[in-house]
Amino acid sequence: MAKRKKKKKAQAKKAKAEKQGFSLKHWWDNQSIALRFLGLFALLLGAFYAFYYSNFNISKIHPLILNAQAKLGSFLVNLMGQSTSADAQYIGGDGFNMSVSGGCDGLEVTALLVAGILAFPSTWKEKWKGLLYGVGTLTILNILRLPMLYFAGAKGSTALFDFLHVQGGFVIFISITMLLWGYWVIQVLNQRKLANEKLRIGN
Amino acid sequence: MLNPKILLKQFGTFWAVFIALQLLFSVTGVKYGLAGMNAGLFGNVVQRFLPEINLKALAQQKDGQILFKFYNQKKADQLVKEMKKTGKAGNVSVQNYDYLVDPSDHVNMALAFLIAVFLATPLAWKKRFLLAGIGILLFYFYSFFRMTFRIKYEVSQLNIGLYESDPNSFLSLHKVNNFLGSLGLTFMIIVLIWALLVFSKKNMEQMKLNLS
Repeated sequence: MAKRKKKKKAQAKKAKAEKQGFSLKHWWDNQSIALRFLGLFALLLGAFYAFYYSNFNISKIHPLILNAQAKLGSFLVNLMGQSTSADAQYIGGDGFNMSVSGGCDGLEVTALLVAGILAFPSTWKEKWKGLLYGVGTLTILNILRLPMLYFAGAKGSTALFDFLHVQGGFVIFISITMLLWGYWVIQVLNQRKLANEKLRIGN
Repeated sequence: MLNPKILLKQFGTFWAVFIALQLLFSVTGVKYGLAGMNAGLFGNVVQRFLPEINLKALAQQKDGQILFKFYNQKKADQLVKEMKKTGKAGNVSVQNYDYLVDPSDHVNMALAFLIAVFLATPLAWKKRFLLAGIGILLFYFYSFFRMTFRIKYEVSQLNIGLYESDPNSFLSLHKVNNFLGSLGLTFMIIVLIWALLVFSKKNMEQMKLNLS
């Protein structure tokens, strides 16, 4: 009975939308889940890049983030017996200086994870959980990467620094991001299946 | 129920393939071979889109870099025309410019990443290889666009009367050039290509099955 009522309501909604002409929401709802995910995912990444390369971010926000990361990085390096200081986006110590710059800030991979979680069809409760754990993990890993890079440059070699900088910067972080996203999706799907099974047993 | 542990196995596959490819691409012969192939491809495509310059792309045997050599074709044509008018025979000389590109990050490493991501996707192996092939094709389309824009921008900075922009649009062109030069964008494009090819209803069903 309830099912029939629901179907009738959906049909009435559809008829109303057709009567009203083109409706963006109606069109969006009619797309396949995969297409909706892809569309929203690309849109969110596009929005991120529009902001990331905006004058406002470049002049006002990005320097603050880079400075905070440099300070945290310097603090961690000093915990390991070194004597460094952070100035703007630079970490400087005995004979070695490095700059935390765009691309090394971990913001792009964080945006990738955020876009992936927001675009995936799930409830807000599921999304918040994923965002909290995912973004938290990536932020911690990125902060820990800075002392690692410092020691690679100061005590290791330029080749090791370059390897950890480029490959470590992008490939390791993007692969971890994709792993975190995949893990979150599996958790969401498993919890959904579990809830459905409970409902079926209850009925 | 889906097993998250299987994800770790896929993660391992990703790294095994990525490291193997990176090692392979670092072998001098392979690096030079790849640079030669890319020089041929990029040289031909960029020349087609920028007919105002005469472009030659040469692979550097020593380090696998690509050297783009170009001159102002428009100016050369004009000089030949002027010489023909005078009725004298001889050579015309135009300035040559060089633009050196290191493809190790934006092309070689990016390709290794792309192939590794597709081969680590929990689908049937035949499908993984097929999608990786299509992915490489799509990635090259993006790379052609990227290289064309960057060379056009490079030419515009030489003040030789080609592709020069008015001061108002210079800043935005400079920004787009920086944007296209970022490694982050190259990897985001690969992730988008991967998502575009992998997330179909049929593939998602198969992935769910393989992860169970």
